[in-house]
Amino acid sequence: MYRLTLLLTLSLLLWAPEYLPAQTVRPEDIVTVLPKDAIPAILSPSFEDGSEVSWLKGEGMVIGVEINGDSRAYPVPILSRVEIVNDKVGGIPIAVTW
Amino acid sequence: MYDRRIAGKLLTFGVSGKLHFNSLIIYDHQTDSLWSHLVGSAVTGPLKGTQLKPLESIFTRWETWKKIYPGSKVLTTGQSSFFGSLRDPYESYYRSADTGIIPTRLTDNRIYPKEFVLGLVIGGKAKAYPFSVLSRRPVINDQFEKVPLLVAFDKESATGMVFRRSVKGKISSFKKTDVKGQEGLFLADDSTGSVWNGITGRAVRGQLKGEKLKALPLTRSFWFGWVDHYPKTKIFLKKK
Repeated sequence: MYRLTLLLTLSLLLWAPEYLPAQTVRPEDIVTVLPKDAIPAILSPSFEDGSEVSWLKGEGMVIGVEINGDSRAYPVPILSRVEIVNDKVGGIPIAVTW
Repeated sequence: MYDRRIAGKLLTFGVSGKLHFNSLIIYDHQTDSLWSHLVGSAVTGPLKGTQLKPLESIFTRWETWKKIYPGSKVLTTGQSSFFGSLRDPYESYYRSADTGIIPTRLTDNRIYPKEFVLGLVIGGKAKAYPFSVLSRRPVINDQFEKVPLLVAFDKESATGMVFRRSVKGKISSFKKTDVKGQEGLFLADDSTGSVWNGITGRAVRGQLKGEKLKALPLTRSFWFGWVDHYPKTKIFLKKK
C-alpha cells in the first residue's frame, strides 16, 4: 500500500505537478483570537449607485469586480470591519474576502 | 475573491475568529469547514482539501474604478457615511514594521516584510511581484509556468494587473505608451502597435481595438503573509 501511494505521488509529480498544492496551511498553525462571528460577515449586502455615493473619497481604495455586465465596488474601510461579503454578481455567487 | 460554489453546492462564509499566521481563517455555514482566505482552500472539516475558484478582481482607487465602470454599484452599510469619514482601522498597522500578533513563520528577507506584493498562482506554483519593483517597472513581459504574462502597474492608483500575453493566439510583447490627453496606464503591443488600457486589458486604439486580454486572478498581500502561505514562492526582483 505504501509503495503504491509512493508510486502514485511520484507519477503525479512527474505528470501533473499542477495538482499538488502549492501552499502548506497546517491546521496546527491555526490559533483562535476571537469568538466565532465576533466580526460579522455580510450575508445580504446593500448597494448604492456609484454616481450617487458622496461619502467615498476618490482616493479611497476599493475591490472592484465585474461579471456579465454587473460591476460592483467594495470599499476597503467597510471590508476591514466585516472581512467577508457574501454576494451574487452577474448571476455568480461570490465571496469577497479581505 | 472566490466563486462560493463547491461541486454545485452553494456556500456562505463567516469569520471564524481564527488566524493562520496573521491571516484570516473563514468558515462555511454549511459544513463548518475552516478555510484560508488567502489561499482559498479548506484546511479542516468535511471540505478539507477543496479549493475555491479564484475570480478576477481589481484592487484600485474608487476614482479609477468609477472611470472604468461608471455604472458600478457600491457596497453600503447603514453606517457608510460614518465609515467613509473614518480611516481604515488598519492604517497604522500598514505603516508599522509590526507584522501582527503572531510571529511570521519564515524570515525571508528578500524584501521588506510589510511590502505589498501582487501574488499569482499558476498550476500550484506561486510568484510574487513586489510593488517597489513594479513602481520602477510598470510593464513587465514575463513568463511563469510556461504561461507568457504581462504584468502592468499603474503607479498613480497603485493598481497592479496580470494578463495572459497572447492576442488572438499570438504571443506579443508590450511596452508603455502615452495617449494624448488621457491619464492612466497605456500599453502598445509589438505585433500591431494597438494601444491597450493597462488596467482593463482592453485595446482602445488600432487594429485590435475592442479585443480584451485575459486577466488572471491575483492576491494583493503583504510579503510576509504571502511567503507564510507560499514558502516556495518565486519573486520577481529585476529592477531593470
